[in-house]
Amino acid sequence: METLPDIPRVLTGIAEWAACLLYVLLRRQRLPVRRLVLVAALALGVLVAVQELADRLPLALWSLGMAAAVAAMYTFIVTAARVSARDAGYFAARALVLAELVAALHWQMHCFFFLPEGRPGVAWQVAFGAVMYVASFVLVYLIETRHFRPAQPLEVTSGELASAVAIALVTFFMSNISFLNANTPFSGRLGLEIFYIRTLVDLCGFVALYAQQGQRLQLRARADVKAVDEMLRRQHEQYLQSKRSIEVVDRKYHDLKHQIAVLRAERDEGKRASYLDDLEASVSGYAAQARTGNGVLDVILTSKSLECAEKGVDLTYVADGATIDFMSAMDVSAVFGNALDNAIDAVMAVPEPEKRLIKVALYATGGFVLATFENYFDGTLKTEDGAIVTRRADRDRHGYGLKSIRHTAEKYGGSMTVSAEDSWFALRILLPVPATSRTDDPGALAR
Amino acid sequence: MTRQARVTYHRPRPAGAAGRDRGPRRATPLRGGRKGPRRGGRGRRTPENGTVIRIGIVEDDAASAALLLDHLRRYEKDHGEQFDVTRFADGAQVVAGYRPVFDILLLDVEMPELDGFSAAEKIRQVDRDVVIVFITNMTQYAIRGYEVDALSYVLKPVPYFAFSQEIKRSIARLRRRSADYLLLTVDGGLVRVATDDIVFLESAKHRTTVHTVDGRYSVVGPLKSLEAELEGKSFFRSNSGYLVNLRHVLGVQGSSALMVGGHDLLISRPRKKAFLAALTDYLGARHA
Repeated sequence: METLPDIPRVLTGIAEWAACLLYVLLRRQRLPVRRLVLVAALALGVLVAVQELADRLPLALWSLGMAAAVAAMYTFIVTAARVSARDAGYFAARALVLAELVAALHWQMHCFFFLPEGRPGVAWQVAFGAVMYVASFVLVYLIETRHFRPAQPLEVTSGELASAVAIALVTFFMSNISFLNANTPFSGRLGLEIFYIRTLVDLCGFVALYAQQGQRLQLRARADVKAVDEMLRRQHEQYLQSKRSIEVVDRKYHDLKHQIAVLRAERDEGKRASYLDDLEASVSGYAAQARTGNGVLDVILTSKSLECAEKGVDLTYVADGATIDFMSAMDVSAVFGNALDNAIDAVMAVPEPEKRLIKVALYATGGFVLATFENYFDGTLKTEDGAIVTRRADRDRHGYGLKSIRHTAEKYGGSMTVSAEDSWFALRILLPVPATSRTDDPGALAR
Repeated sequence: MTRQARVTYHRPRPAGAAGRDRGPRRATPLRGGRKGPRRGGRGRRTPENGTVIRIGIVEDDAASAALLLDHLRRYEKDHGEQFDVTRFADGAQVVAGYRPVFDILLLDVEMPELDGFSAAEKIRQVDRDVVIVFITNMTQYAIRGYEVDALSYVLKPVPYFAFSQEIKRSIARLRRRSADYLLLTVDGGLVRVATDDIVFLESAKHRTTVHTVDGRYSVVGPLKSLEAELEGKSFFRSNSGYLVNLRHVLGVQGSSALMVGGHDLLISRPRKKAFLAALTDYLGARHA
């Protein structure tokens, strides 16, 4: 059997370089042009040199050579595209498979056209190669731009990175196995066919990675939609609340006008004083504004207490709002809004109105802030589906609320727990007070 | 002022220490002639089922006080408890000559002479342990109970159900305080240590070092056997070498727990989530 020449190492180096460059160009946050050109030129030299060097290594050290090449690719991407280490890893995995695919495809066609006797000379071969490479990479660039938003960080999770790397490595080894050892069940033996097998395996790898990215985008889009949904829902509630407040003010204004007229007309001092007392009493209820020391929390507690008053829920709270100054407004509203919504939903399922009790506490203890939301519940209803958490009609939103609270708590290095005991459901959130915002002096802590 | 009143960690004295009078009294207005019945030692601290629970009602309005008393009588019947109830007509009355003999104080927030909140602040200076429950009406919604370690309140007019739940919690809180002790085998004998006083236990080969608020003991025996003895208490194995009393955790920074006494203990990575969850439940339930 004739021995077929394998891909010249220079070409492999160039393919790797071009694949890396493609992903670098997909990012908007890359280096400025002049420095990018410099880094790219340097990378080209390094990648080709690494390939040439790897060629001189014995077959046993083949994987070492490949590891060096991958490391060089990774370094190129991380420097030129200015992405996080994880994102760069994700790109490097894709670049590796893409480089293999283009190099394999080109070489397969090259061998088909130019290998038999009497075919055109080197000039034609080079021209063909150049056209192939440029066309392939431009095509892939066009395909990939649909899946990568240049300004957004990828935020690849370690799980996603791991699966991308796994796909890349499996593709890489399966496609090269025929060249390393012809004596395995997966090795091709027939001349040009093994080139074709390699191209196909690489193509599969590329498609798998492409699909993975597509799925990531879809998942993220879904999460975005949920977050926006939640925000709109809150805004709508806020709007309804404002509308109700305006109506109350309007009504009170009319009442006041009449009462003032009556007061003006009254000549008797004693009666006048008693009218004034009545007047004072009639507006005292509207002073029930929460003043906890945290503006966002005040708004939430005020609107939720009004909601509770309307629904006949007994909501009481003891809250030191200053303890959560380190939390962003969005997080405060997400945590307290969600937790109170859950509690209100739960107590509304209790048939006896006098048992609709919610107790909220927010306070600092040691280096921690604790928030507890407790509500009475009808034990029989809750145990139906085993889990203590969800049994609402609007199951989807409810589950999302708890998840969002947990997520926020963990973002601040804290924790969230739920428990049910003696007909009381308790949601507890613990947040370590960040060192910078700790107001107590250390002496007070060590007391 | 607020810091004094915001009780975060209270540390019961070991057995034998004179029960209630902790250190010099700070507040002057609390000296007075009124002598309440006084029980010796730690007797008041741990009302077991069946023992009398001492409750003070501080309420200027007679009708309102009578309603509370009715509720308490009904609760006694429903739950088989025994209450010894004393009524005060103003915050100034309860504060004058206050002695820490009560288990639970029901404090009206609005009173003519001394309001319930100021009364609570004064009481807290000499009695960190009494469970305070505020009784208030809608207009004083925003009470700052966290400053006096009173984390819930009941709204007027007081409905029986809400009130009974609050009393139930308060009693549960009293009973949780039962002091218990651990017998340690040290070289040369046995030592009795209140579990609340243990900050953490540290494994040291075949011995265990027990760090307490007052000092260290080197105990014969592995950490494992002590861990088994402390099962169900507020202890957590934060890594293979430490058993931490959640009561004495002051903070968490990165992967270490700051303890009373300045110890900085490593929390192993796989246990950090469970550690935080245990701490959340411990702290959240303690004040409830």
